[in-house]
This record gives sequence, structure tokens and C-alpha cells, in this order.
Amino acid sequence: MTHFPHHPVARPTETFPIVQRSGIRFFRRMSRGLVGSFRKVGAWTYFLRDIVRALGAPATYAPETIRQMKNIGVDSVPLTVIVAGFIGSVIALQTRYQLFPGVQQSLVGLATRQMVILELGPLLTGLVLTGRVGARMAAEIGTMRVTEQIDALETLAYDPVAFLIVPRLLAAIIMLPVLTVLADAVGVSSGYAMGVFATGISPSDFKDGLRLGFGTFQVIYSLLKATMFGGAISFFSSFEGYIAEAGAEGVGRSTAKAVVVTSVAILVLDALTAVLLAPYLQS
Amino acid sequence: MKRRDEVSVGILITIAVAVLLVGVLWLARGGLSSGYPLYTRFAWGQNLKQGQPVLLAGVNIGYVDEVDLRPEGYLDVLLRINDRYKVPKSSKATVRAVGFFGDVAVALTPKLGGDLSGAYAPGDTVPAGTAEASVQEIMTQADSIGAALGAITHALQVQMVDAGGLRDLRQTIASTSALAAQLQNIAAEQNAHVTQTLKAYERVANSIDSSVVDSTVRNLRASSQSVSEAAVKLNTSAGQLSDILGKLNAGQGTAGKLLTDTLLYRNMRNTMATMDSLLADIKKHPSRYINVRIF
Repeated sequence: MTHFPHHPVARPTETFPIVQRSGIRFFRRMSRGLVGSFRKVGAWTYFLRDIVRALGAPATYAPETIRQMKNIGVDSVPLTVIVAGFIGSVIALQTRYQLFPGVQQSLVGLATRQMVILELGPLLTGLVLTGRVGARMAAEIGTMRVTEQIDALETLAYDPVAFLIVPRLLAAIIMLPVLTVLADAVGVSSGYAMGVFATGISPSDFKDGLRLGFGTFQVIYSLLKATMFGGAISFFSSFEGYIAEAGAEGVGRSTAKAVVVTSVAILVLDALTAVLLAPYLQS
Repeated sequence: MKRRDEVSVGILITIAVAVLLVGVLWLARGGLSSGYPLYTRFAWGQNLKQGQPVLLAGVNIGYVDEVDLRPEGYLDVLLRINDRYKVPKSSKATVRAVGFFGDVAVALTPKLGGDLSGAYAPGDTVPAGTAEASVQEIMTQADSIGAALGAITHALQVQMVDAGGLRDLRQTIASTSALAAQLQNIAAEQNAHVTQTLKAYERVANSIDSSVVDSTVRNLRASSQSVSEAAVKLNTSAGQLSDILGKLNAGQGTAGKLLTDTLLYRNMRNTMATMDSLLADIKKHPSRYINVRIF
């Protein structure tokens, strides 16, 4: 080994003065976080690669997909309807009482439609399902991981990604738009009911506002967001469960992490969608 | 279990697709019935967009289905009219402002007293009428009025406040008030005088006896007649005097000769001279001529 006389000798951090020691620890933590982020992105990429690869085995994931569609879609209908109903009625009520005299009341219908269809319908459906479906997904897969059921599947030559992840991903991608359609319809209907029966807006005014400036792309925009949110919920929740660490604590940590990461991902995707597609919403 | 899952998922997806289709059709076209199309054409800048209502005499009968921007400076507008309504042939299409925020509607207005029996057929073009002033135009007008008011206010500030015009105006008003008070006093005094004069006149008028007036008039007539007679007599006397003067000038008679005969004149002068000398002598020597003896 060549000796370099001026090369700095490795020195324990505790031996540095307090200011330098704090700086070293700060930059060390930052670099660990940065490396961890890159590592996470790389892991997501590999996971996505495994999913794409698993799509070539429909016989493995197709039967399970229907069951997951029922779990994710049909079982979430009550929760979605309740949330959308309250949101639509509150929007109509709030908008109605923000109008000052002289403003046409059809604005209530317009605001309700725009807020429910463009934003709150898909977003709240996605966030609600993150808690209900995403947490469940992460817990299920995490438990299978820590109980070595996934290892058993691999031993039996089953592709765990095709058997566990792809059905959930497809089911979420299909059912989130379905639930969002219901949420939009229920939100607008509850807004209509609240506006007409509780605040005295005439039905024709509300309908005029609902139809004002409506374009089919607004619904496509809503469904596109819902599709992306469904993919995000299943992808990130499955991933966190798939890499769960051993023990009940590891499963719990993975579940909580899945909810946080998925919620953040949904909000980021929502913002990106708005930035990229909102200009096309102008009729 | 699996079969039940498939059924429930199928029902949910079917319901969602049905809701989606019906909802989009209802929002975009007002329902499953599409209505019939009418066309109209407006100039640029009408703030038109899909979904805005179409009004026939104020009643909502359809909606704006499509707005096509033409590069020639106008908009081709497709109106979707509910099948229940017919648009009279005499109707004109205008863009009408609705509310404060620039929202508009297409108003189809039939001509009052026009023929209401005929109706536009699907695909016809409704001619555009004279548009009402838009909110923007009204606001622009209000802005210009506001600017003019600002200029006027500034000018008033300069002239009335800075240059002391307001002070002058106050003084003028005070002077005018004082003048008006004086005029009021004068008018009151004059009014009193006029009232008194009128009362005096009324008293005089009441005191005049008509019989006295008649007798006075008769006396005046008699006097006038007497004066006429006197004038005739005076005229006669003047003629006689003229004759006398003519004779005097002609030297006729004693008086005429006295006036015209120079010899008589000289004799008279001589006589007067003699008389003077006689009187002087008498004064000088009265005893020669006057001898008074008493006893």
C-alpha cells in the first residue's frame, strides 16, 4: 500500500470541534438522504420493471384481478358516496353564501361542477382510498412478506409480482375511475339538492350553471387523474408492503409509510396534472 | 364467491359507465334529446362559449353548442334548440349580458307585431340584430365618464380652491344676498307706496260725483262756445284795426296826417319850442303873465 504523507488520516467525528462536528453530521445525513432517495427511485424502477414483466403472464394475475376489483371498487362505494355527497353539498352551500347580491345564482352550479369534477372528486376519492385500500394493500403484502409467503410463492415458481402486485395495480387503475364517476355524479347531485332545496336556488339556474362552459375534456381530465391516482395507490402501497421488514413493527411501519408516500404522490400528481392539462380545460 | 365478485364488479362498472354517458350527454347537450340546430353569426369579442343559454323572449329554449372562430372577424355559432320550441321567422339574434361578470346569453327576439306564424327550420341561420351595450362597453364608458369627472374635479380644484375662486364665489354670493335683501326692502317700500296710491286713487275715484262731472263738462262746452264767439269778435276787431292802420299809413284823416305830414310835424315842433320858451319865460317871469289880485 502506497503511503501518501499528506493524505488526511481518517479521524473519528467526535474528535472534531463542535461546529465542525455538527457540519459533518449534517452533510452526512443529507448525503444519506440523497443516496436513500436515489436508492428508492431505483427500487421503484426495478419494481416497475418486474410489474411490466409480470404483465406477460395474464393467467397468473387475471383471476385475482376480479377479486381485487371487488375489494377496491365495490367495497369502497359506500365510503366514496358518503364523502362525495358531503363534499358536493358543502361546496354548493359555501358558494351560495359567498355570492353577494347581483351575482347570478347559476354560479353555484358552475362552481359545484368545476370543483367536484375537476378537483375534489378524483382527489378525495384517491385520498380516501389511500387510507382504506392502500393501507390494507401494504398490510396484506407486508404480512405475506414477513411470514415468508412470498418466498413460498417464489419456491413454487409463482411470480409473486404477477400474483400479488399486478392484480391490485390493474384493479386500482380500473376501479378508481369508476369510483370517481360515481363520486362526481353524487357530488354534483348532492350539490344540486343542497342548492335547490336548502338555499333556494332555482333548479333552472343551477342547471344553467352546470352546463355553462362544459366540455367533455373536463370529464376525461377527471378520469385521467383518477387513473393515475389508482396506479399510485396500488404501486406505492404494494411496494412498501413488498419490502416490509420483519416483524409486526415492520408491517406497521410499511403500512404507515405507504399511506404517507401514496398521499404525497397523489398530491404531486394532482399538481402536475393541473400544470400540464389545466390550460386545455378552457372552453 | 368468485362469481359473486364478478357480478358485483360488473354491476358497478355498468352503473359507472351509464352514469358517465348520461351525465356527459346531459351536461353537454342538455339531455339525451339533442334538439335541432340553428346557426347565427356574430362579430368577434362576444365572450361566447359552449353551454351558454339561448333565450327566446327571455325563456331558456336551448344552449350554445359550438362557437367557431372565423379569421374574417366573426364567430359562427351553433345553437341547439329544444325540440319543443319554434323560433319565429322574424327573430333576430343578439348577445345579451347576464349578471356582473361578463357572462352572456344568446337572445332570440321576435319582431313585435311581426309575423309569428312562420318558424326557422333546423339548420337555418338566424340573422344577428343590433347588440346591446356589453358590460365591458358600459364599464369603458363609465371609465371615460370617471376620467372626465376627474379632469373637471381637477380643474375645479385649481380654479375654485387654489386660485381662490371659491372665496370669490362666496363673496359674490354674500354680495348678491345683500343686494337681494336691499331689493327686497325697496320692493316692500314701493309696494307700500303703490298700495297707498291705489288707496288714495280709490278714495278719489269714490268721491267723484258723476252729476258734478256732467255739469263741469257742460260748463266746459259753454266756455268753449263763448271762447269761439270771442274769437270771432276779436277777428272782426282785428280787421277793423287793420283798416284803421291802413288809413293811418295812407295819411287819411287827422290822425293820418299827424303821422305822415312832415310840415305839420315841423310846425308842431316849432310850436312846442315856442311853448317851451314861453314856459321858460313864464317860470322866469311869472309876474308878466300871472297877476293875481285879491281884492
